[in-house]
Amino acid sequence: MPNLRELQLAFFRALDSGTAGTTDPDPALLAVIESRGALDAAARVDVYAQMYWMRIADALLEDFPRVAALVGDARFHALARAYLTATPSRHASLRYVGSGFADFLATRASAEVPPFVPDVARLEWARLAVFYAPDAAVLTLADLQRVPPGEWAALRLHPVPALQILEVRWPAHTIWAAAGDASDTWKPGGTMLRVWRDEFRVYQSPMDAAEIAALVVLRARGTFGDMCTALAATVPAEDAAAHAGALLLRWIDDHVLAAPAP
Amino acid sequence: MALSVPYLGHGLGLRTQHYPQITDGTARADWFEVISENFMLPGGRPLAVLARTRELAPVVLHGVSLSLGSTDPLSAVYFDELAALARRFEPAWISDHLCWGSVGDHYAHDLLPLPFTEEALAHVAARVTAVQERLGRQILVENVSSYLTYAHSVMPEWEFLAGLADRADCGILLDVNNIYVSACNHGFDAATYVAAIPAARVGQIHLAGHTDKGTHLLDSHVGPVPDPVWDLYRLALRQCGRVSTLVEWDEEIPEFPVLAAEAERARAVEAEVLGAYAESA
Repeated sequence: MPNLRELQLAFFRALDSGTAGTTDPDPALLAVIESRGALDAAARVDVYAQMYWMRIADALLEDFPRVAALVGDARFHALARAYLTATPSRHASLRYVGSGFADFLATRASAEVPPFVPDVARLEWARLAVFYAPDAAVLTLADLQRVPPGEWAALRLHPVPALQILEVRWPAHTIWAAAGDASDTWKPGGTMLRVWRDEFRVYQSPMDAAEIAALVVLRARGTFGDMCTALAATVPAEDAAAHAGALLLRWIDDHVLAAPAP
Repeated sequence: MALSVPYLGHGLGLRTQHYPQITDGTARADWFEVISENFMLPGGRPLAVLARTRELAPVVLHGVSLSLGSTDPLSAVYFDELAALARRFEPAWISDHLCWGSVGDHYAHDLLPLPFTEEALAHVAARVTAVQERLGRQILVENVSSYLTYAHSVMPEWEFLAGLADRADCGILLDVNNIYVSACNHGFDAATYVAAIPAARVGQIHLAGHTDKGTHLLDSHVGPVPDPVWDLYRLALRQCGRVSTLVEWDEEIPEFPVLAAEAERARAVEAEVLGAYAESA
C-alpha cells in the first residue's frame, strides 16, 4: 500500500503521461483505485489526466490568443501539451504557467510554427506582465513645471513598473495587430518595442533609436542630463534638448513616468 | 473553539465578465466570493475591481491552490501573498479545499482526491492547523467533487471531513453539489453525508450545476442549480440552520441578473425551509 507521498507522486506521473499522449498509471497506483460502474480504475485516472492538460491548455489559450490564432487550435493544443510535458507548472497560480512558453516555441520555430510566432508570444507575455504590474502614481506636466531650471540636469525620472522594453527580431506588434494573419509575407526586422499600460489598457509601440537611447538611460537610473547626452549620439547635438523635451511630453501623455516620491 | 464566521446571506462569485457591473455599482449581492489566486497580483485592474467590490459588499477569499493535502511543504510565497491580500481586503473568512493539487514542486491546478486514511487525516489536520496559525484565523475547508476513490480508505469522506474539522478546529464549506456529484459517481447516499456533518462547523454552503458525461457527473459549475442539488440544500439547511450560501457558475457565465436570480432562489429556499422548520419546532 503506498503512503500518501508515494500515492501523490504516482498520481502526478499518471497526469504527466496523459499529457504526453496516453494515460499510463503505475500498476501500484491502479491497485489502490476502485473500479466502479462504467469506469474502471484506469479510466478514472484518465478523467483527471484529461482535465489536467485541458485546464492548463485553456489557460495558455487565454494568455496567448494571438499565437493560437496564428497556429490554429489543433496545433496550439498540441504545442500546449508538449510544453506542459516539458515544463510542468511550478507556481500555485495559473497566471505564471505560460512564463516559458515563448522560449519553448522558439525551440519549435520553423519546423512546427512560423518563425515569427515566438516573438508574438513574447509580446503577449510582456502585455500580461504589464497588465498585472504594480500600480503607481504617474508624473504630470505640473510636476515638471515645478522643477527649477538649475536642477534639470541632475533630475532623475523613473519609469512606472508597468513599462517593458521588448526586443524582437520580427515586427511582432504588426503581426499581433493583424490578429491571426499567418501570412508568409512577414519579413524579419529587429525592433525594440515599448509596452505600457494607461489606466487598465495595454499598448505597444516600436521605438526609434532616440527613444531607445533615452529610455535605457532612465531605466539605468540616469539623470535628465545623461539622457540628453545619450540622445546627442542619435540626433544632432543642438537638437538633443528639444528631442528630450518632446520625449518627456510623449511619456507623460502615455503615463509611463512615475510621480516624484512625496 | 466555536466557529467564528458571520452569517452574510446569499452571495455570488465575482467573475471577470461582471467587472463592468461592479465598477458602475449595479452588481448587487449580499456578499461576493473571489478566487484568491486571481487576485494575488502586484497590481492592475483585478485589484482595482476587488477594491470596488469591497466597497459594495463583504468579500470572502476562496483559494484553489493551498493544496492542504499535499505532501510538499506549504508554500511560503503563497502564504505571504494570501496574507497580504487578507490584510488589504479584510475578508469575512478564507476557505480552500479538502484535496491536494501539487507534489514534487509541480502544480496540477486541480482538486485531486485524497485517500481517507488515518495517515491522510493526521497530515491534513496538521496542515490546516499550521495554515490557521499562520493566518491568525480559522479557515473553512470545502469538500470536493471526485471521480475516483481509493481502496485503502478506511472511513467515508464525511467522517474524514468531520474528523478534520474537529482535530484542526476549522470550519466547513459544505458544497452540496459536490456531495451530489460524488454520491452519484461513487454510489453513496448524499443524505447520509449531510446528516454526518457537524452543523456547528458549517460556515458556508456552495451550490452549483454539474454536467452528466454519461459515465460520470462532472462538477462543471455550468447552468442553473439542478433540482437534486436544491433538494440537498434543503436537507443541509434543516441540518445546519441558516448558513451563508453562494451560487457558483463558472462556465457559460450568464448576465449578472441571471446569476443574481439564482442567489435569490437560494434565499427563497432558505425562507421556505427555515420558515417551515421554525413553525414545526
